[in-house]
Amino acid sequence: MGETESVKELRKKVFLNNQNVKSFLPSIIIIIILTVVSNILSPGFASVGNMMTISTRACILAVACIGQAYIMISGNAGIDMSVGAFMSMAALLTSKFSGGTNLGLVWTVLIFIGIGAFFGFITGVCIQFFKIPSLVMTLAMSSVINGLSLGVTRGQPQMTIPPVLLSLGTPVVGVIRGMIFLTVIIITVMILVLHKTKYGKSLFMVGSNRNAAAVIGLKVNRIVIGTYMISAIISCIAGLMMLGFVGSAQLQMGDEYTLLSVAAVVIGGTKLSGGKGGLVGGILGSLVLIILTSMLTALGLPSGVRQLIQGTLLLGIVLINSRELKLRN
Amino acid sequence: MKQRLIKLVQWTPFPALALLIFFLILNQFLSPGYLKGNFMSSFLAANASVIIVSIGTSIVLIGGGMDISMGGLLCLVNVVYVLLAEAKVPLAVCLIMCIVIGFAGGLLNGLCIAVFRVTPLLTTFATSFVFGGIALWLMKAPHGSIQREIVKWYFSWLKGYGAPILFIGITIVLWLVIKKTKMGVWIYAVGKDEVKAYASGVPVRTVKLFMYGFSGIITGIGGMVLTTYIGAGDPLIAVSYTMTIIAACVIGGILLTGGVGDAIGALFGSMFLGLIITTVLSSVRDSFYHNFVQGIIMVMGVIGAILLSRVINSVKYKSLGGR
Repeated sequence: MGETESVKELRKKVFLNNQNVKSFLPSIIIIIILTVVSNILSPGFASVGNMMTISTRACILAVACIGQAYIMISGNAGIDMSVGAFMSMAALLTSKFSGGTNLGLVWTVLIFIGIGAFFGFITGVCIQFFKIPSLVMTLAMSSVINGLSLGVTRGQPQMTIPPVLLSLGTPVVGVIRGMIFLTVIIITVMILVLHKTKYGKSLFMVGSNRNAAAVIGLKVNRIVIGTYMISAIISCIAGLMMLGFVGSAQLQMGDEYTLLSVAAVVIGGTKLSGGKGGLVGGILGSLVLIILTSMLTALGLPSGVRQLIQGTLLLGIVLINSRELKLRN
Repeated sequence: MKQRLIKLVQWTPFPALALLIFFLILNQFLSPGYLKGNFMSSFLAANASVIIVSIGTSIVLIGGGMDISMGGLLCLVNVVYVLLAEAKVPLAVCLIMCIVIGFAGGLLNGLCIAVFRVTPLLTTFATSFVFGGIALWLMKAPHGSIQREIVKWYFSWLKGYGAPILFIGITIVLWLVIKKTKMGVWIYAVGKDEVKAYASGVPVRTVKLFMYGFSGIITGIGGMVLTTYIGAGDPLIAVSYTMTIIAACVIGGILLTGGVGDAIGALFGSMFLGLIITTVLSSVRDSFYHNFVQGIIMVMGVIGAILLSRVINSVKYKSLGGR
């Protein structure tokens, strides 16, 4: 009997020391606490319907986080400030490209993969060859993209949306909505790409040490540029999902996702210094943030206060999570 | 003479200055009377705030830091100024409050970065939402106005040249004074290599705190000028300024890796960027494409400045190698 108990003890110790558990446990605890608190503050918050809405919104954010996480893993202070701009653009231009039909949607997705790859390529080339810091280049790119969508749509909101896209936001099996299945597929594929392919493994190496990666013969430029292309394409797809959920497109509707995606990925334990991290953390981070945002909305706080609380939260997270070593060390 | 010329070419703000002068001459040549008339005074009046804040931000960049919270802080200063003016607070108090708010914002950044050692990028990203959020909380939609006398003074003193040049001048003098003191040397040292600076006895923490606080004060001045120019309150007025300001610094020859450049470069960079945007936009008919064109100009400007400084550097190394 004593032996099994010690085995149990050992298992418990191993479980608690496991790197994954260590970095994910705080998020899971926060999610549970937030849900309970929100349900006390505004009864009905934890109802099945509301939880499904929240998880649908978290799905959009989780997909947007994929690109952000890839870029942060690629290191060299990589950060993508153009996530929101690409999402808004995809949402706004869908009705132009698809004409509101399901068949048109297929073309639209292909066109967006092209557009995303094109702009991602430009961003990546400018960062790798002209040595423009990632932050500056993606910020500039986001103003270019936002300007482009303003020019093309002439500031009008867009209403004609393919029905398939809209049906993503409705329940498919039981209470589970289509969006959730789609997200699970996308994230599974991207996790496999990150951890099982040659590209993903080289990405981690490039992120932890650029020079060493170049020395062992990895094509650093190609990998980094490819990462920016992937991020732009994924952001476009997240934009399509956002359009399906909201049901109409407005200018700069995706802007808040830039902050949220950075925050979610940082909560998930990915560091700006690169070479570490993954996508699961981003999913949990997305859930935390969306539950918090929904709670603030349910409490009826004005948008300024919401923004203030989100900013303070991000500040608090980075204060705990991404402190640098003391200079003495 | 030749020595002096070489020194001028190697001066980091030189590419931006050359671009600015070339652009002014080109325009004067293409449309005579460009430099006369009201164009320059109205240009300065409109762009003074961006120019001033660029100079402030460049100090942080030289010190190896990063700041993307100026946009939010400018909004906050604007909103506070207008709310105070609406409450019939005397003008002097309003102006002092602008600077106090700017300083407080800068100090918050500095505290998180210097004392708690958080990455500057993430800190200022978060604080930009904190500042912007407070601004949006205090004022939900654009409204209000400030004292009419100061607006009149801003646009009419010395044919409209006086006020913008005065504020830009104050900022430059502040920078030059700091550059001459020990703090100036320390800022460059910390920007070049933090660890070596620490090892040789530079109080890195104090330097960083000072740098962000000082940049905050200048952002306060910039917010004051911005509010005086528009004369009203708008909680979202400066959200898009962040990008322009950083692009102006990069064009002005300040490397984001730190330790290189001069805040004077930011002056030339922001003037060049402002002029080229104004000129190109006046030739683009379709106003819906203005933001797009502006974004492209910023990207091209940043790439151009980086390539130009690279060419100058390679020439410099060649001349050194030849000796």
